[in-house]
Amino acid sequence: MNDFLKDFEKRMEWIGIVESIVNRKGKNTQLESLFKENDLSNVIFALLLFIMERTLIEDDRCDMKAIQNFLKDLLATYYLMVLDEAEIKKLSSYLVKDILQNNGEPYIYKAKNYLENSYKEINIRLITDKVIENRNERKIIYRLSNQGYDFLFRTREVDEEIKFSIEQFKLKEYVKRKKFNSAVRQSLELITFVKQAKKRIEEFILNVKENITKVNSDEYKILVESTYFILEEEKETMDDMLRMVRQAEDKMNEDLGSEIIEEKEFLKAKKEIEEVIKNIDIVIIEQRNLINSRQDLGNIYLETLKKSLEYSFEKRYDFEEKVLKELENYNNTFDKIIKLLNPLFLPKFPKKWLNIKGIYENQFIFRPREESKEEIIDYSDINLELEEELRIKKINAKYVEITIEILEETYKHKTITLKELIEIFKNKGRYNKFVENRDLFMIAIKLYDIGEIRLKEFYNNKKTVLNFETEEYDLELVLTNKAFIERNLVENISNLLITKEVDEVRDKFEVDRNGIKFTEIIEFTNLRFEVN
Amino acid sequence: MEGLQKALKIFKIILEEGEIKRQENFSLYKEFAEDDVRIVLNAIEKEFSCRFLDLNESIYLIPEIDSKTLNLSFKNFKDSFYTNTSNSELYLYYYIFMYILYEFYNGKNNNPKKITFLKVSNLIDRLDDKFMKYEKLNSEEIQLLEEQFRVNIKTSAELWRGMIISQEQSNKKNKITVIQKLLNVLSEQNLARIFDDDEIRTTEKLDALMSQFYLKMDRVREINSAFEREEL
Repeated sequence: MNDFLKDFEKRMEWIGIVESIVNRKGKNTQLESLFKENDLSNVIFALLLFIMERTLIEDDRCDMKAIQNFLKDLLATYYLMVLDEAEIKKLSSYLVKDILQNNGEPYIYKAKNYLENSYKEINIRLITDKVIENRNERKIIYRLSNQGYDFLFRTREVDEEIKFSIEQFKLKEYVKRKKFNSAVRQSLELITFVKQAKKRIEEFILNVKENITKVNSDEYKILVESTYFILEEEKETMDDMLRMVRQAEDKMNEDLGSEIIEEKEFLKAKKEIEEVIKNIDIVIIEQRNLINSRQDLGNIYLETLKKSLEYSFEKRYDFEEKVLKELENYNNTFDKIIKLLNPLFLPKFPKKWLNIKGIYENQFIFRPREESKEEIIDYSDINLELEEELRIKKINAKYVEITIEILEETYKHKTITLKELIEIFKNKGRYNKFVENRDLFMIAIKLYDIGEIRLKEFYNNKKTVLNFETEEYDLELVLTNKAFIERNLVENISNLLITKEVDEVRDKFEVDRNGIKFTEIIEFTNLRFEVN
Repeated sequence: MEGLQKALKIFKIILEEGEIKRQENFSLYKEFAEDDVRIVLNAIEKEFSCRFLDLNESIYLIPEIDSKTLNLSFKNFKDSFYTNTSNSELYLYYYIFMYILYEFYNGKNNNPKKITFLKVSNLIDRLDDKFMKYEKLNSEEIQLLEEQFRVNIKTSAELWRGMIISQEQSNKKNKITVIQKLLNVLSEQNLARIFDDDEIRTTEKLDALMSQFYLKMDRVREINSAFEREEL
């Protein structure tokens, strides 16, 4: 296999990263069309850098709101785009969730491994997220992943480091091939690089001395770690390079002695080698000085920082926020009153827990109705005590009765309110029965919840329901009850509509429970029933 | 006596907070493993028909299906939704829940969690595709599937098709509010949450329970395989 194809799949990781952004799979053309060519890719990279910046600060504040604010400012300042809150929200969500997070799914890039003649799946994940809980508030914060760091640093931060290494590499190759003229040029490049590093450090020291508040600890950290780390590494390499050049010089002397090269050629090469050696010496000295200055840099920074803190320590309380507003919101008195009444109430077990296995349990399958069969399918496997079964049947029969009455009266009047229905039921002598367990009101609320009951549509769908009666009001069971069907209300009523009225219903009634009479007062918003 | 007290404390805290994390409550977590505490907890498990599970350095409580005291029954679950939720509607919600679990936990690696979050809009699109696919099957084919997997497909598809997507009228059932209601229930159980009204994310509790407990059950595997083969 060709050597240059070795570790090919590692190179392709960067291609995969670029592809994940540039060849966006979650294309939202409406949003994309807001941007000119390549602008959106630029914005996405700027966003990545923003997330990196926030991650370095480690303040856990890079949430969606922060991203929205950043994008809003960026677009307004550099792209002359002013988007409203909704658009910014949509755009931020699109960039972060759809593009950078690939809708929550792993982004896989397949790279060829030529050594094994197979494909390697590279997982591309530039940002990570975390749910942060703080005082009953939950939010998601975003951070740059290691892969993201690696990628971004390669695009600039370690550019100079790589360049330096590349120049060293080139010098080595020139010396190896005895291209001493080119080697001289290369050695001058190396001097330039080390002087740039020196300049960066000097600028930093100046900034620190002028105004410590303009310099943050991350700058210091990056400078120390990247610059000095590079210097340490390069110094070793430069020492090796010097040895190599001297070896080349010795070899040349030997060649002259054994008449392999001519004297003229020899003198030219010797001069060039001396030049290279001189330049390498300069680089080594500069590197050594800079490495030695690291301690001084650290001391200068920390001393200046310490002095600035001595003068700037200040604590402030916002009295209005911390004290007055807290007092205004003091509303837990009511909780304490309720606690006094607790002994009067039945004990309540803490909440119930869901067993997920129950979700997967075998379900009762609803079957479509056939014309010849009855509408209700009896599910006789349910094992209930006879008395209990009768009680539930009685409750459901009452539900059917009340529903029929509501529909019939509404049909008679075309439109009627709950208040009016109450009067009618009182006149008919049915009222007390209908409100025994507040059934009438409960049914009215349930019907209102549905909003619109499409009777004709329900029967036309030939739906059959499981006859599994409980104490609960089940409209489907009511509509398919024999007694209800026999009234044939669907012939005259297609739909029943229930809406809210402005006024309120207030009523008093007596109920008999186990021989004891109770007077109940009920109050709620009036409802209107309408048929068509 | 000390074992009894520790066991009751563990039980109490789990009932109140849902879990005991080693990181947050190291001493209690350690006590869970003590022999005399385990004896009492075993008795609690028997009496309350429940199970204590130690997963990923957290202790959880799982009620058995027949536990009247602790288990969120079919009826309780129904009550958590709309006041007039029918049985068929509840089965639709079960279907959606099973599908959400499948989307999150169908990875083939040691950690079966495949995705970080699921957007509600994507979930709705995928459910639309699924239920539309069922509409193309004839009655016999659907019946066969329903019998094979014991899942209500026809009624669920009809109900889903009948729902609009809009959120304009909040008291009316529509796809978004139905999913939000389901997520509310799951949120109360500390199993999943919605962020930014759009992102469904699972909790550590659900991750642990699914990957180390529920995914090992035959029935769960059967349903997930059916989703994968696109039979369900």
